[in-house]
Parts: sequence; C-alpha cells; structure tokens
Amino acid sequence: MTDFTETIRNFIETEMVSQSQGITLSPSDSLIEKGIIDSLGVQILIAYLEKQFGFHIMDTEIVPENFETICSVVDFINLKLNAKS
Amino acid sequence: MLQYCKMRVVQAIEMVTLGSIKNLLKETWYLNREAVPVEIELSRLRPVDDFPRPADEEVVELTPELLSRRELAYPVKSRYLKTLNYLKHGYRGYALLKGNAVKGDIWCADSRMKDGRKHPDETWLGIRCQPGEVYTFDMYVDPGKRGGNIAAALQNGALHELKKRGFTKAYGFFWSDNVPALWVHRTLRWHELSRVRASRLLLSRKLSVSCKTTPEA
Repeated sequence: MTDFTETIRNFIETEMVSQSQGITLSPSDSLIEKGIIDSLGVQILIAYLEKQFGFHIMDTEIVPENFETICSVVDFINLKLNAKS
Repeated sequence: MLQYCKMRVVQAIEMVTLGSIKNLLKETWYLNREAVPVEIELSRLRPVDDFPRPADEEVVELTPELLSRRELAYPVKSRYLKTLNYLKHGYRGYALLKGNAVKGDIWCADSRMKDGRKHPDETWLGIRCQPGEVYTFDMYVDPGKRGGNIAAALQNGALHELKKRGFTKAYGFFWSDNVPALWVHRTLRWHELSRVRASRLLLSRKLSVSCKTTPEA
C-alpha cells in the first residue's frame, strides 16, 4: 500500500484550495465540510486522479465516503490500483 | 408556442456561445445515456445550515407576483424565458437570489399543473408522483458563480421550501455522466431508483427507453 498523502495534499492545496482561502489541510480534515470538495471540486479531483493514476472512476464510486478526507482519497486510490494490478 | 420556440433558440445560441457546440450536442443527441431517477422524503432533509451561504442570499419561490414586484437580473436570457414558460405551465420554481441577481434556479411539477398533466420526464423515468409529492427538474446555476456548494444550497433550500408548503416527497433524476449533478444528489442523500437508459436525436422526444431492474448505487 503506497502512501499518496503528500501527493494528494499538494494537489488539493495548490489547485483547489484557493477556493477555500489558503487553509492548511491535515489528512483527516473534512474536505466536504471545508467546502473544498463540492460539485465543482469533485469534478476537478476526479479528472486529476484519472489522469495521474491511470484508472477510470465509475459513477457508482463517486460517493462522499471516498472523498471525505485526504485519507479516504488515498485509501480509494490504493483500492483502485490494487484492483487494476 | 412562439414563446417556447424563442426560448429554445435563445438557449441553443447561449449553449454554443457561452459553452461549446459539444455542450449543445451532448444535451440534444445521445444514445443509451444512463439516467438515475431519485427520490427523497422531505422529512429527512439535511439542515439548511449544512450548506451555509452569505447572509444576503436567499432561496425564494418564483411567482408572477415576484417577477412583477422585483426586477430580477438573470445570468442568461434563456433562464428568464424559461421562467416565464414554466410559470405559464403551472410549474413551481425556486431561485437563489443575491439582491435581485438570480444565481440559480430549480423547478418542480406537482398536482397544481394545468389540466392535471404530469411532467413528461415522469413517464420515461417510471416515476409516479402522487398528490403531495413533486418532481424536481432543470436546476441551473450561473457558471460564473459555481463553487462553494451553491448547487447543494439551492437544491436543499428549495426542498425545505417545498416541505414548508406541505409536500412530503420529491423525485428527480440526474445523468450518471453528469458528475456535478450526481455529487449534489448524493451529498443531499437522495435515494437512487432503477436506472433508465434513453436515446434522443436533436429535437425529438426520447427515442428509446430501457430500464435496469436494480439500482447500482
């Protein structure tokens, strides 16, 4: 299991966090409650994950549980990569 | 009829000029596109405070009286024309306003509709709206104002207004390839029903519809 925490944190903080006034994120912060992941944010993150990790995210996987925190995004990535290999 | 045609032409022009011809084609020409019908009990809505908005914004019901009293500023002309058209048909609409600026709107059909007609989507989606229930459709958010959970705030706010009016249940649908719409419905905890596949060619009604027996999510 690879730890992509920093990769995801960097992406969110550089590409998405401007919408949330430059807050510093911990891996367990709720991205949804902080307003980073909303209908627009989830679209940006999904496009990034599919391009960066080379897997396809099905619509049934686009649920709040998979995108709640940086930790849950990392778990989801590992799950997808394991299923792919 | 003339008003309807004008609305459609303006909408098509705006979709191309503000978006792209690809956007227009995606909405008018599709094969086996998957729709996800949804329902929600209005007694189980998420609190309005879960999607906070600035104090000067409000969700209001769009009525002919409101339109004559306040000069609302719509982000695109087609939304204003749609408002007139929908009100004429007896649909109920809600808008998220900042002052007189419309940041988004959403519509619903209920038994108040003229001649007791149902919204045409209900038929192909397999939805049977009963008295006291509504079918929600055609949510729009000003593209320049998207972000900050505005779509969820608008939809959740409208559902709370419907609950205040005595409605008990709402239906709707989203296309499974429309990630923003999918996310809003899942964030608000709509229950997903059996999926439906539909095809459409330009201005035709749905050419074919097939139903999956079990929801996938």
